[in-house]
Amino acid sequence: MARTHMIVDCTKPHDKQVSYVPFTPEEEAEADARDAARLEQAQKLSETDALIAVLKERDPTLAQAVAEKMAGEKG
Amino acid sequence: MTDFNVTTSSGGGWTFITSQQPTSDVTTVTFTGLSGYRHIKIVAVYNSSANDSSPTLAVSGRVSGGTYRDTAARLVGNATANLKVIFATIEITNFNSTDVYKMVELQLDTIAATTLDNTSAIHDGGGSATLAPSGFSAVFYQEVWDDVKLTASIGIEGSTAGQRGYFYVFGMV
Repeated sequence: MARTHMIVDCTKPHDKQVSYVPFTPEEEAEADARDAARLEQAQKLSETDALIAVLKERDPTLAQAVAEKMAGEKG
Repeated sequence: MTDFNVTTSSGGGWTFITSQQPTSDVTTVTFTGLSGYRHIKIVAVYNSSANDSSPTLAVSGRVSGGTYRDTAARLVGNATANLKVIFATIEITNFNSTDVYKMVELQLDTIAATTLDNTSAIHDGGGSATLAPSGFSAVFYQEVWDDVKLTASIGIEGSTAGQRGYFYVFGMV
């Protein structure tokens, strides 16, 4: 999906302020790289949630300890 | 003791400049033509255009036609897989002053597992589980800024009429 800038020119009348400008190819490439890094982070988060969910079923005390440990490391 | 070199503001308080909502999904929102204001405040609420595990909102400013300066006011929401609603307040002091620090304050809050829409009376962003930390930075550029740009990590909802984000801009001279 193409990315877009919304530009609001506050010097113009309200109904004429907004314009939309597509990303340049360079901006698209930079955004793609950032999204790839974010996707990797999200997958790690998802895997962690799944692990804690299994632990909760089998050993709630251990699950709580793992969750607290991970919250501390994020924190 | 030497007095601080402060110029008295000639304004009468915050002036409403504009409010806008995107009518298609966008990645950035930029407000231009603000060099007449010493202080700028933006209040916003929007849906991320997709679920976001770690939403960020970056603030940058520039001279008209110049290079955007990263203000380092960039917050990452607490890591939760399905964050969708983002609240933000941004305040930039000394926006058009050349001889003092421009100080940037950014506060961000989020809601998980729900979508902002115009059918629900309350969208409570007060949940501690998704509360992002406040951000504060000071940048020094001898520039009269004119534009401020907000860059969202994934995107800002605008394509769904009842779920569009809203941005309010105020200024003080």
